[in-house]
Order: sequence, then structure tokens, then C-alpha cells
Amino acid sequence: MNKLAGPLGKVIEGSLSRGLKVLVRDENIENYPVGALVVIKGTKHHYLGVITDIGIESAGETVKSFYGSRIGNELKDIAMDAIKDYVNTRFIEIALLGQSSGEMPRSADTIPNFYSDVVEVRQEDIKVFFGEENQKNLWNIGTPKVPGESTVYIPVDIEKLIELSFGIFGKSGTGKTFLGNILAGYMILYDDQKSSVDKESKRLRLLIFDMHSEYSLKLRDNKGNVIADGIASMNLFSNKFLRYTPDLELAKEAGLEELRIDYSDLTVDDLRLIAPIFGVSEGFLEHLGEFASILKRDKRCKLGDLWIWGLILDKDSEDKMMKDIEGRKILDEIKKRTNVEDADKLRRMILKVIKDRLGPSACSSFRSQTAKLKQLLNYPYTYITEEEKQTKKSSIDAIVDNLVSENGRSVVISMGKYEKETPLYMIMANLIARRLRERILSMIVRGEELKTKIVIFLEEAHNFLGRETYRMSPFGEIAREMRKKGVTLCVIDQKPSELDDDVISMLWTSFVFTLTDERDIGAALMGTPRASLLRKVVPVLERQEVLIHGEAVNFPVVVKVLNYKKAAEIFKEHKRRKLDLVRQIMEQG
Amino acid sequence: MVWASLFAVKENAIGEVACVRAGEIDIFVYPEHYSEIRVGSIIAINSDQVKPVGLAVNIAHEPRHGSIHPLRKGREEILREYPDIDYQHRLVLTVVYSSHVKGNTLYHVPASMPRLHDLAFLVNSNDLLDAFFRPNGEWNFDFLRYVIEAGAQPLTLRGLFFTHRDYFLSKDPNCQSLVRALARPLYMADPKNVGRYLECILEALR
Ligand SMILES: Nc1ncnc2c1ncn2[C@@H]1O[C@H](COP(=O)(O)OP(=O)(O)O)[C@@H](O)[C@H]1O
Ligand SMILES: [Mg+2]
Repeated sequence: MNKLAGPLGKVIEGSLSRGLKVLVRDENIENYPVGALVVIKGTKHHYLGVITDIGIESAGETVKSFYGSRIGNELKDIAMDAIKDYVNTRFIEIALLGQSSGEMPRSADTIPNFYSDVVEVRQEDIKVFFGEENQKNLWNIGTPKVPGESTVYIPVDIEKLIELSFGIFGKSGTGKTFLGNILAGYMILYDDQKSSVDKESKRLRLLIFDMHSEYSLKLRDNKGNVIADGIASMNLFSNKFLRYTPDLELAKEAGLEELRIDYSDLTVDDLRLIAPIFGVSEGFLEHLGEFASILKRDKRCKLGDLWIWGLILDKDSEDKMMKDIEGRKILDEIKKRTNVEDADKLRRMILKVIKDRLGPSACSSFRSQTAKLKQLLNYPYTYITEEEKQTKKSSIDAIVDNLVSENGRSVVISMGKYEKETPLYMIMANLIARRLRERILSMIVRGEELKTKIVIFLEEAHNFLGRETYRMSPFGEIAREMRKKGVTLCVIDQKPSELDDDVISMLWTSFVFTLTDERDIGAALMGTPRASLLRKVVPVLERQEVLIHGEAVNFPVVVKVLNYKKAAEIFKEHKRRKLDLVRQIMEQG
Repeated sequence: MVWASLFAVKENAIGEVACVRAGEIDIFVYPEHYSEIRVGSIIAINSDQVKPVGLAVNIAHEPRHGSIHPLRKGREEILREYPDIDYQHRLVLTVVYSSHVKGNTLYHVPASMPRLHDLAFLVNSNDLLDAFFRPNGEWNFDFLRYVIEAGAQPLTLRGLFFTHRDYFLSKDPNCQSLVRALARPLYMADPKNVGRYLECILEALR
């Protein structure tokens, strides 16, 4: 793999838990990046290790005597250059990952003998320790980091990956979304392959919450220039995905399905989750449950499932709603229920009811805070009346249908122009997730089994699975109780430490791009063997480099993720070969 | 060739071997050569086979008869009144045995010991200095390892370099190649004081 001849160095001390210290022979310590794989040839076993630290030790007294002396800097440098090989020893530290002595490799539970050779990783070693792409369960995800050039690939076990929830973490701009797209592509290929040999197996469906329209439209570089088609907009997969968006113009322009929000589906908890983003006060949130039940059921209001409108409706809102066909429909329905002609009057009445029932301070909180919720008027909303329900299906129901039925498609929710509207993103994700969960539970109650396997890609996951949000969002329940029923999560986030510990402990594979915050690194590495050694690797990863650990790889490994364009080629090539095969079979038969 | 011609004229000898200890050779210096000798002089000895070469690190004048009588006179007066006074004294030079010449080649490593009364010669022409400091056409200061091992302090080296200051500066006015060549042997001899040694050497050359 690289051109360095002979052993790279010799093991001179260390332990399994602290890692091995290896004296490096090569004069150029710069050939040894942290995160690179090496092999150690013990007497009995071959060991797989990863470089976790690199260093130089110098004869400190010599260096001090130089710096304390009155010699010109230029001459000092010349002298130091002349003796540098004597003054320093170069070492690397290695965390042992696996060991093999011909049989199946396994986690290292021994260490190599003193003065064992550390050598470069060869293609055969990678095969032994990581397996080889078979385009069934194993698919190449990228090249391992090694000292020197790498020409081999590390495969990821897609079957094991989707069996349980997994995470993709890393600071912004490191490669999470690109990797998400590549994994999504592989999942579809995996499913295609599987369905062609096993007709009985469950079909795979992806539900992707796509904040920045990178799965549904275009992938971009960090400057915003388009690099390639997102996975769901590749021609190749056009019959695999349905793309929905709340951005109605985008829907029209790019041929996506419209996704309007029916606020009558929102629960008090849903509102609690997003309200802080609008800056609503704590006091208001404390009363929110009471407000809701008054608006729904007080005999003077009786808004029922339109209760949320009772929070924001006034003269202003009415003017705005009148401009929209859905708005007019909702206003009509409200008038029917309350028998109040105009919005101003209704507002005054609601305030009075609240004052009567909850007192003046709750009322004044209601008055001032509800204004902040008016942002909801700027989102594309809808309402489906009881009559309409007989003939018309809400978008959310259509989405869920696709996900759970055998001949449905995967779904991407593209935020379009609302990409910065976290509340809208949360509302949509929560509504879809709740409806999906309810559907699956009702199927189970009827004794049916879910016929599909569903993987939900959740970008900015802390909005749903954070310590505070986890217990209020339906994703928490999905993470807890839906795995056995065939729903797992791909949790994508830049601050894993903000996720609830329970969530982290439910992730069985993690893709960790660079992180610098100690707590984030700790969270991202939770549950990995030798986490204390591997944590040194994470802050020095470069863009597109990822530490993978968990079920989907045999051993933790740092990989440079496939270039997306190359991955797209692979997808196409695979599809072409499959079509050829089908053609052949048809011709023969 | 330079070495052979140095030893060719025995009248040019500046003294002879008076005592041999491990690593060190004492030279009895003939009085007419007193003024040419100093700490830092390089001395070559014409022994039978290999020719020991080393660096003068110590000079001792002592009275031949055990003690001196105070004279209370200036040097000129003394020489006028006692023209052979130098012959009443002896000057002993201690040389660290660091190098030897075999055939016409110099090696910075000691070889067999000289014998008493072997003649000693002063290495001072540019050709000879080249042959000692640049045996293969490049600076080689490996002899310093023996010199320092024998106890030479940074100041001793200052003497050595001061003695040959003109020679060194003619070869390397900005001292860069000198420093490059000095660093390694100094480090090998005394890793903790490389800086100090270099500092003293450079002072002598400034
Ligand atoms: N696999 C890849 N192939 C090509 N470019 C990549 C890849 N991974 C990352 N990049 C580059 O890095 C940038 C950031 O990646 P992205 O996935 O958008 O980061 P994140 O989602 O972590 O913020 C991309 O715009 C792209 O230029
Ligand atoms: Mg991203």
C-alpha cells in the first residue's frame, strides 16, 4: 500500500488499556497520521491497531543548553539540524483493536511481545480483519487511513447497520450529509439485491427529514456550489422516492409533492417543543394545557381540534388567512363552531373566558405570548373537514401509507425555502413520526405485522432527542419501542452531547466525523472498546474522514469516505449490471 | 605527503616525549620553541609506525631544580644577566592523544603509544592544519570527543580555536560549516553542554 520498506517500528512498551508505544524507524514522523491503521506482527497473532498519538521525545537538556546559549539563531538552527537525529526519538502510540492467528479475527485480548515489528497494513490484512465487499450485505464505504497511500476499501455491513439505530456525528461541514446520502444509496442497493433473491423478506423504506434539501435536490460544497444530485433526485432512484415539501413554489417548480400542515394534528406537547424557539415564556407554557382544554371544550369557545387557531386568531391573522383558500376554509369552520362573526370579537371573548377561569395573570400571559406564535401563519397549513376526510387523504397519511405498504416508496421531506425554520421542521417531523407510530401500533393491535423495514434519517436530531425534548417527541418513543417492530433511526447531529444518554445508548453503530468538544467526543464514543484511546483520534480527523465503530464494522476504523461522485458512479454501475442480468435471464427464458 | 615532509627534518622537532599515560602524552619542549607553543597547539609525534597526533591541553613550566629563586627583574634584564635561564627550567606540554597518521592518512582515533624520546613536531602550516581538521576534504572534529573526555572544558576549546583563528576564518568566514561539523562530536562527547561549548568556540572566532 505504501512504499516504506521493512518494519515501521518496534513495540517497546505499553498495555492493552493504555495502548502500545512503538519506536519509529522512519526518520520522517510526518508519515504517521493519527487514526491510521497498522499491523503488529506478534509471535502468535497478527494484531490490528490504530495510531492514537504520535510524538517526539528529545534530550531536553541538550535543547535547553542550546536555547540558553548566546549563539546566533541561524547558527543554532544549523547545529540543531546537525544533531536532530541524536536528540530525538520518534514514537507512535497504538490502540490494539483486533487480533488474528489465521482463524476469525476477534477483539484483541492479548498484546504482542516486546520488540514485535509494526508493519504497514496490506490489502490481505484488511480482508482478514474487515471482510470484503460482496454487494450483498457488505458495501465499500471508503479507504482506511494508513501511513502512506491507501488503495483498499473498508466495507460496511448495511444489513447490521439498519438492524439497529445508528448515529452520524461531527461538526458542521465535515461530511455527515454526504455520508447520509451514500448510506441511503447503499441501503437501496442492498434492498434491491435482497428482494431479488428473497421475495419474502421485508422491503426497506427510508424516511428522510431533509432540512437543507440535500437528499431531495442537490448536494453542495461548503461555499454553496452544487456538487451532485442528492440521492432522491438521482434518475437512477427516481422510482424509489417520493419527495414532499412545505415549500409550495418548490413543489411546483421541481415536481415535488406539497406538504401542508394540519394544525389540528398538533398536541400540547408538540407546541411545547417548538414554543421556546418562538421565545414564548415559561409561564405561558405552564398554562398551555389549561388554555388548550378551554379552547377545545369551554362551551363558549368549542373550537375542538381547531384549538390552536384560538391562540393566534385576531384581526391581523384573519386578514392574512383571508388571502389563502385554506385560511378561508378554516375561518368558515371556526365561525360555524363558535357562532362568532369576526375574529376581533372572538379574541375578546376568548380572553374573557380565560380571565374568568384562570385569573387575570394567566390571561395577560395569554394576551402577550400568543402573538409570538403567529409565525405559524407563515407556514403552509391546511385543514381537512370531517366530510373531506371521507374522500381525501392528508399528505401525512399518504406518506405513512407509502412507508408501511409493500408497494410504497421511500419518502424524503424537503424543507425547501423553510430550511431555517426549525419549528416547522419539528412540527412536520413530529406529526409524521406520531402518525407512523400510531399506524404501526394499530396494525399490531389488529394482529398484522409491519411488512416493511423503516429507517428514519433525522438531521439535527437534538431537536427531537435532546435531554429535554426526548420525552415529549414521538421520536423518543420510536427509538425506545419500535426497533423490534422494524423501525430504526439514523440520528444525525453536530452536538451528540446534547442528545439524551438513553438515545446514545440505543445506537449500535456510529460514524464520527471530527468533534472538538470533550463531551461531544465522549458521547460519540460511548460504548466503544478503548474509547479513552480512540478519543484522541476524533479531534484530528479531516473533512470527509470518519471514525466508524459498532455493529456494522468488525473493528473501529478511520475511513476517508468515498467521494460522492464516485459513489454515484458505483450506484449507476450496479444498477446497469443488474439490468444486464435481468435482460440475460429474459433472453434465455 | 604533508606528514612525511613534517617529520623529514628532525631539527624541526619542538620537543620529545617525556611521559606516556593512558590517553595523554607529556612532551618535553625545547626551550628555543617555548614561544611557539600554547594551549590548542596540535602536536604530531614521529614514532616508529603510526604517528600519534594530539592537542595540547596543558602547559607547565617548572624549575629544573625543584624551586625558583625570586629575581625581582624584568624579562629583558633577566635575559641579559642569565642568558641560559630557559635551560634552568623545563616546559612540559600535555597532549591529548586523539588521532594518528598511518601512511599518509590521518584518523581521529588513537592507536599505539609513542615511546619516550620520540620527537614531537608542531602542526601549524595551512597544509598540515587542513590535513588535521579536514582529513577527507571536509571538517572533521571527531578528535574533540577524546579531548572533552580527557576533561577539556569549554574554555580549553576556546583556546584551541583562538590559536587557529585565522586559519578557521579563512576557510569559513561565517562559521556555518564549522558549526554544522562541530555539533555532532560535541553532542556525542557532552550532550548537556553542546550550547556552552559552541558558544565559547564562536567567541574565540568572533
Ligand atoms: N463524501 C464526500 N464526497 C465529496 N465531498 C464531500 C464528501 N464529504 C464531505 N464533502 C465536502 O465537505 C462538505 C461538507 O459536507 P456535508 O456533508 O455537507 O457536511 P455536514 O453535513 O457535516 O455539515 C461538502 O460540501 C463537500 O464539499
Ligand atoms: Mg449537513
